[in-house]
Amino acid sequence: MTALLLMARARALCRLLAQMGFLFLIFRAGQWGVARFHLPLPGNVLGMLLLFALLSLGLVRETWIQEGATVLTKHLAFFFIPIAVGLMEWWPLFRIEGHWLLLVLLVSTLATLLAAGGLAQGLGSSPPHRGGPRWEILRSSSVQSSSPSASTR
Amino acid sequence: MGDLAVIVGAIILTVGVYALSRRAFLIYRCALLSPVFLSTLVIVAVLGLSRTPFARYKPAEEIITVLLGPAVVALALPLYRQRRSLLRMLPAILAGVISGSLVSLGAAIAVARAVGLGTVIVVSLAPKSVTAPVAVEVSRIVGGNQALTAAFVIATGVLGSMFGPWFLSQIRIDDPVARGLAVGTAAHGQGTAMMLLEGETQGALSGAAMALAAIFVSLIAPFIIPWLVTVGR
Repeated sequence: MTALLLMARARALCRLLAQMGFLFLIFRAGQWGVARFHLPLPGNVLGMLLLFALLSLGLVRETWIQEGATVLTKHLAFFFIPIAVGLMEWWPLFRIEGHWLLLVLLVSTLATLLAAGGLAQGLGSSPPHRGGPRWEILRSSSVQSSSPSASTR
Repeated sequence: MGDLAVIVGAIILTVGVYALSRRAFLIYRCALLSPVFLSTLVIVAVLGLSRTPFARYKPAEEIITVLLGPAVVALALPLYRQRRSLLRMLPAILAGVISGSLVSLGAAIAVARAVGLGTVIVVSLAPKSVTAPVAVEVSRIVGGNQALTAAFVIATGVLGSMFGPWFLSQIRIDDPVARGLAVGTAAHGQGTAMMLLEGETQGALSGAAMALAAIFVSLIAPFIIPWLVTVGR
């Protein structure tokens, strides 16, 4: 019984790693494309566009990357933590000019949110949402289930 | 302690702190518990208290960020699943991303000039809303400091993912499309990571906005940043 269960677990893990490896290859293809054609884009964004094109053309099936992509996007925040820890190297600058820098970043970020969000909501064809359960989706693992708010629109 | 032990310890610390802060965030839904912010704070505190310089944590950073590339590529999947609603709303999406990116550049430069920051810092601040690899490239082209820009990009991501969803709720922007779009335009990948916690629509839109903003800003920044820095002087 347990041996069978372990085998199934191991197989699922291999599948996950293979899918992540495939996504890594697409990422490297994106990096290569950016260098080769001197595009004003980062390799990861080109890789994302490339995967989108492959899915749209039917050359890659959703099931080939589903588990790997779900794990990686669900924990996208994790990969930014070590980068943010690197901010500690800039402590001397932040101690002197920190309050002004914080003001610049905060004002400009909030203004951007207002402009982009306000315009998109104003122009959007979607009906107004009446305080729907925005936070509920993740509780029951967000990424597999297709969001109801998108399909009903 | 050997170097390998430090690297393994740093990775275990990062994973453990992330797992706890993610759980805490999902329970309390408080901006101060934003996983990136809280985890970073704890790890910096641990490094500081144990007098470990960042250079010893750096190898762990390099190992973990290997997966950042494929993770961004993987954003194509939610995008693909939402392609029909995305296409239908393309005008609103483009208008939101373009206006948001222009406001981001303009507001950062205007406020930075108003408080009297030096030109190199002003220029380095300007592209802070777009994803780090693009922002750094833009910074180089317009004469900024790349490392400084990278720091501002990360700080923007932390601020945007902490306060973005809260601020949007305050100003009654509750359409999932508009929310995802706004946070992706303002706070790139870190914001997108946060929006994926809110929902698939928000996450997909945020990823799309991040990509579109990166493309748009990299095309216009070399011309518009020098102009904004000198206009009216």
